[in-house]
Amino acid sequence: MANMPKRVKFRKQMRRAKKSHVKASRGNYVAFGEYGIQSLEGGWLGARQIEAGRIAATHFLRREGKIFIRVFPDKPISKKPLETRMGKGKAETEYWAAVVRPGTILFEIAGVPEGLAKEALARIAHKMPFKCRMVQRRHGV
Amino acid sequence: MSTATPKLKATPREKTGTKYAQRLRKQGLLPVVVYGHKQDPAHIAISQEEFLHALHHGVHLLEVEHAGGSESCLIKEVQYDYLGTDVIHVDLTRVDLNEEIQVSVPLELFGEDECPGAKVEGAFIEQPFVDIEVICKANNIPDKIIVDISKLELGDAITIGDLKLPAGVTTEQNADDVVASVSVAKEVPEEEGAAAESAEPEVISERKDEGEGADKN
Repeated sequence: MANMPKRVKFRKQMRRAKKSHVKASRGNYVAFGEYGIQSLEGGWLGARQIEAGRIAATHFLRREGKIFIRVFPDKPISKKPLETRMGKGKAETEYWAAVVRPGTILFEIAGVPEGLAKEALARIAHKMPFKCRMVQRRHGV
Repeated sequence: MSTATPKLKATPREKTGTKYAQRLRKQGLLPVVVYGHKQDPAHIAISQEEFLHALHHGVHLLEVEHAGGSESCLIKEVQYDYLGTDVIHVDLTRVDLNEEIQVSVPLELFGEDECPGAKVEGAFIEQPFVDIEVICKANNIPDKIIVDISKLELGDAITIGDLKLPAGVTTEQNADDVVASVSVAKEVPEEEGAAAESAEPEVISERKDEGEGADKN
C-alpha cells in the first residue's frame, strides 16, 4: 500500500501557507477512468483519509471495476506531543498528506455502470474532509 | 455523420485580454480565435448557448458568419475553467470541406450485456481510450466509432487494428493499442497499509558519517 513516499530528500518540510483558494491547474480532469470525484475545496488530505476512501469504494464495488487514486500523500506533517514546552526543534512527523486544491480529482472509477460508480464515489465523499462532487470524463474535440 | 453544420453568428472583438474576455462571458458570449489557411487570426465572439448546444451534440464543424463573410471552421481546442464546468475560450481553425483533417472521435462499446468475458465474477471491461484520432475529409467526420465487444472472452482484447472504420476514414494511431479488454482486477491486501504506516521513508540527503562525528566529540 502506497501511503507515504519510499524515499524523500528531506525528513521534514515547512508547513507553507495553505493556498486553499488557489485553483487546481493540473489533475483537474478525469484522465484514467470514466467517472471521478472532484474536490471543491482545498487543504491537506491525510494518507489515512485516502486509504479510508479506497476501502469504502472497494468494499462497495466488491472487486468490480477499477479504482484510480489521483492524489499521493508526499508531504510530511509534524506535530509536537501534548503538554510539551515550545522549542527544542521541529517535532517528528505525525502523518503524511497530499496537498489538494479546489478542482483536484481525488479518485476515478472505470468499468462499472454510472449508477454503481455514483454510489461508490458518494461513499468516498463521506470519508473526505472536503466538499466533493462527481464528474464524468469529457470527450475530445 | 453529423447531419447539418450549425451556423453561428459572430461579432468581432476589438479589444483582447482577460478583462475584456470576462466582460464578454458575463454577457453570455464566448471569446473565440479563428486561425489557419495562412490568413491573419481573427478575434471574434459567439453566443455561448449556441456553441455549447453544438458541442454537446458532438459537432466538430461550424459555419461562422461574420462581417467578412461565412467560413467553415473546425473546433480545434476548447478551454474549460478549473472545475471543468464552463467553457472559457475556443480555438477554431479554418478548413476546406474537401481537405483531410485529423479529429478526435468517441469510441462507443457495443454489446456489453452479451460480452461472455464480463460475466465472469470480478471481471470488468477496461477501455483505455475513449477517443480515437482519425483522418478524414472535413465533410465526412463520423459521429462515433463502434467497438463490438459482444464476443470478447476473459483476457481477450480489441486493438485499433481490429476496428472497422467507415469508408474514407483512416487512423495513424498504433494498430496494437488496446481499445477494449476484459480483465480481472487485482485484489489489494488491506493489512499492508497499516504495516507500512509505522515505517519511515529513506532520506536521500542524510549524512552517512553522522555516527563517526559523534564518536570524535
